[in-house]
Amino acid sequence: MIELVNVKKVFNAGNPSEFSALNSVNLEIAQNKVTVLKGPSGSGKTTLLSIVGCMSRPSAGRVKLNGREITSLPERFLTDIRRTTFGFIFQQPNLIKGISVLENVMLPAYPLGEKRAHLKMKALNGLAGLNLSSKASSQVEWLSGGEAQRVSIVRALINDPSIIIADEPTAHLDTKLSYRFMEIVEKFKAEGKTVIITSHDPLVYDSAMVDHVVNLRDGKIEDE
Amino acid sequence: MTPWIEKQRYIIDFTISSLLRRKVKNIGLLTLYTLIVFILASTMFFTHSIKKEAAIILQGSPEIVVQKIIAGRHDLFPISYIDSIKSIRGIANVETRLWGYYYDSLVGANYTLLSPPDNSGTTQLSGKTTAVETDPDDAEALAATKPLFEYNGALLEPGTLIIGNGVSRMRNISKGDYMPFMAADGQIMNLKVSGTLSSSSELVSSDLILITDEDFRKLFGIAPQFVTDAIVTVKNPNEVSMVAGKIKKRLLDSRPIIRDEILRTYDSIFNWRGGMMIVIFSAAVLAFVIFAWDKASGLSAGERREIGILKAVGWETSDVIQMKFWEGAMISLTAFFTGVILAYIHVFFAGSPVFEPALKGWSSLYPNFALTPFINAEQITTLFFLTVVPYTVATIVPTWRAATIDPDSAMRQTGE
Amino acid sequence: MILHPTVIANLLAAYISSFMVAYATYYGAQILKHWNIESGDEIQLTLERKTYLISTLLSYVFGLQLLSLFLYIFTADAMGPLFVGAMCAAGTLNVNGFGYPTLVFKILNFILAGLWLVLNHADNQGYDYPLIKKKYVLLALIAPFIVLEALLESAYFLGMEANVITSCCGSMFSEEKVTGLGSEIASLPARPMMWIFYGGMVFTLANGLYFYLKNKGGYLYAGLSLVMFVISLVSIVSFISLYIYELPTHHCPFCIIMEDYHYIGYLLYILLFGAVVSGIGIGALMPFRGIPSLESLLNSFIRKLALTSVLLYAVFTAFVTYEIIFSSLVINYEVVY
Repeated sequence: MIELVNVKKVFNAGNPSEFSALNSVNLEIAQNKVTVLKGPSGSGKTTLLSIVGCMSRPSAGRVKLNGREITSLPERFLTDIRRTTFGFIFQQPNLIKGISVLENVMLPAYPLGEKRAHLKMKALNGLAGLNLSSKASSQVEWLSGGEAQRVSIVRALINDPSIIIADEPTAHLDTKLSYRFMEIVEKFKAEGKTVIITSHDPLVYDSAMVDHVVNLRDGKIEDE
Repeated sequence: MTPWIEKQRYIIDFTISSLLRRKVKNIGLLTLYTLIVFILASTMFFTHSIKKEAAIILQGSPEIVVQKIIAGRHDLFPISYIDSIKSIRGIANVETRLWGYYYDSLVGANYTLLSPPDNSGTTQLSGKTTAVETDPDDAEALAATKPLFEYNGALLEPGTLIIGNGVSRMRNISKGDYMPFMAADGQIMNLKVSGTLSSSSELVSSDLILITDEDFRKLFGIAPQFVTDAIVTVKNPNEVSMVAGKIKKRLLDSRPIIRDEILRTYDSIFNWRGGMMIVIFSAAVLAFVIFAWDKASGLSAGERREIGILKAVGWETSDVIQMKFWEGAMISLTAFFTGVILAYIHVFFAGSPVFEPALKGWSSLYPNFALTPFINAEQITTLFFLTVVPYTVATIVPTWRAATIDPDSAMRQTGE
Repeated sequence: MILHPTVIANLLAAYISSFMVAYATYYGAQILKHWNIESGDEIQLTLERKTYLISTLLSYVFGLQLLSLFLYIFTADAMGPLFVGAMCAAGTLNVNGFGYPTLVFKILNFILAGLWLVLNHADNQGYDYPLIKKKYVLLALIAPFIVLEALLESAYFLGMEANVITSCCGSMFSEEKVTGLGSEIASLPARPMMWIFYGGMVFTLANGLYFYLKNKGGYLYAGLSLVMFVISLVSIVSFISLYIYELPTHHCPFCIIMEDYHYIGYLLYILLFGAVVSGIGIGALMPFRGIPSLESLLNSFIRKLALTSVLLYAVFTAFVTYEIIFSSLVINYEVVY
């Protein structure tokens, strides 16, 4: 469970260009539920997501993960929590060009120093789970948009995270692929994972499997 | 410990593939880096082995040379001084030498003319005899008693010459040819070449011409009671400087020069030359360091994106720093070893065509000889400090900057 | 000054080290001033990022110190022929009054930089930067030493004049200088020193093992490892070198790192330096075992350090013993010089 209390995020503090991306956000994200953060662009969705996902620290306020206060943890500990607890799916597939699909998938596990054979097996299993086995050794440049996104999903799962974070996952997908994505989300939920999605796509936030929708505007949560 | 090693292996693998993906950019850096190492290494190898070469040759030169000084200048040495030197305790032998320089206007070169002691007609102290017992197993002692020049069996008699290889090359003459000289009284002396010197000691014998005592005196108009200088052999090597002091005390206008001092002076000169070269090249190193800094800090959008992705998927700042460390280490080591190996080939096999004129020459007759390969840990460490250390330091701050890219930057880019 | 390539390399290394440390200290001071772990302000985030830069810089300084220590000895050795009476590094370092002090500072700074890295490593284990202030105060204390070392080194190299032939006088008449330069290093008698070395080593190792197993006597071991470091250096001069050179009179601690002796000196010195840094590191970390965020981790780190130090000392002793047993030199009389 993730709990945010009075979270604020200010950029360029003290400068004329100062602006607050988040203003006193209070939020609870329940375990094993699908939560959607909804709102127009510039509403602070991504900032909130990066704070929830331990990618950045709030300027003020508290963040608790499973009851543990993580607000002022140094980056090295935040990263440690992030890479074992969260799996990230970005708007762009964000794959590294020039290396194979398999290597891309294994990338998040490199700093953990796992045994190579073991890690490779995990990656291949993950790829097989999303029908990508045949692509394992191909270069990422040759993948279609949908394939690239599925590869990035396999990558997000490589360290077996309990929370999946997806930032505008359907922004670059057509309707058919978007539905396929939601099927995958359903599978996550069935496996007991917590899912947090930002989106302004009705196909996502109106979906039956979504448990909770949070409306964001100008860095504040709007009441429904 | 094992996860740590496994992690480094992953990072190294990733670094290699990332370097290969940016071949063009990295080959430029690598080439420049290698070139810098190559130039510095060549300079150092060259000066070092020439120093070594000079030292080996000078091992065979006399322990003390005594000159006469008038008004601070070198003057002809009276033979009458010999007896006074010989009476000093501890001296094994005293020999006189006749030598000088001759300027050949035809080819614009200076020759060193020497009348070898064996053929000395006026002094009774002929032949190189050493009173010190030498141990035949002691290579150094043997080298010291070995004559400095070898005649290759040629016989030196009045009217003939034995010439060094440099002279032979420059005048394009060899055994049996005649060589004209203008004597001190204006007469032309035509002397026959009866042989050439062996090439093993070409550094000192390149411009050398051996001539008989008689011909030497005729050529330069030197009276029989004078010689150029005297060489002194001392019984106990530890007493060399003490004997030199005694000579100076007894003959106030004499200047004794000890072999070790010549060695030291050579060493200094070559160190100085090598150092000068390095100072000059340091401008190049500096330019390279600025280039490296610029290259490391001017990350392309692609690289920035890549580091952003790595951090977003769970790489930590220090993981990225480690990656960059391996990247630098690989580039540095490749450039360093390639540069050193190329320099080795350049200096010891190809005869260092690039530096020869700047570092070696003291006359227009360049000695032409193969240097004995000689490298030690000191040279390699020095090179490392002059090249790899500045490069590495120049890349620390840019590396750190690159590594501290926000992990959420991957989330913030829309479109590519 | 002698314009020798190696001299240039030495000075370059010294200046680079000083520069890096000064740079790191500057940011260290900012951290001391503005650090507030509770805050999520950008200034705090920036400072936290700077800690990565500073530890990277210090790691490089540490490596550079070790390399430059050896380079320094090499340089001194290579310049031996330039000075009357200097046979090897021992004589060259005596050319002026700055040679040996520079060497001492080089060793000291290496140990200090190593200590800083030990502290840094421990600090990185704690989630609330428990040692941050102490760490940067220590850095501020180390910096002047490294700068001082660079100054001493400059004075040493810039102040040397080679004894070369000058136009006014042919001979340097070395005899008056022979006593001034003294290539030999004063050494303690070999036999008693050998007893002290082996006795001290057995005691130190026993203590280290006891600490490793029972977790008692950490400060004692830290102290002993420092004392043992000094004893080992003295022993190298006093008797270990004799066995390596197989000469009853050559006490030089520097020639053993040269090619002629298969670079055995590197191994010995690196073992010794490693042992002392990890040994003293224990003492430096002992007071912080009570800090909550370090409690669980620090003890195992300290024990690892103890084990490292003990092993390194043991291997050092093993090599020394090997050299003594397989040396053809036999000291069966009391050598006194």
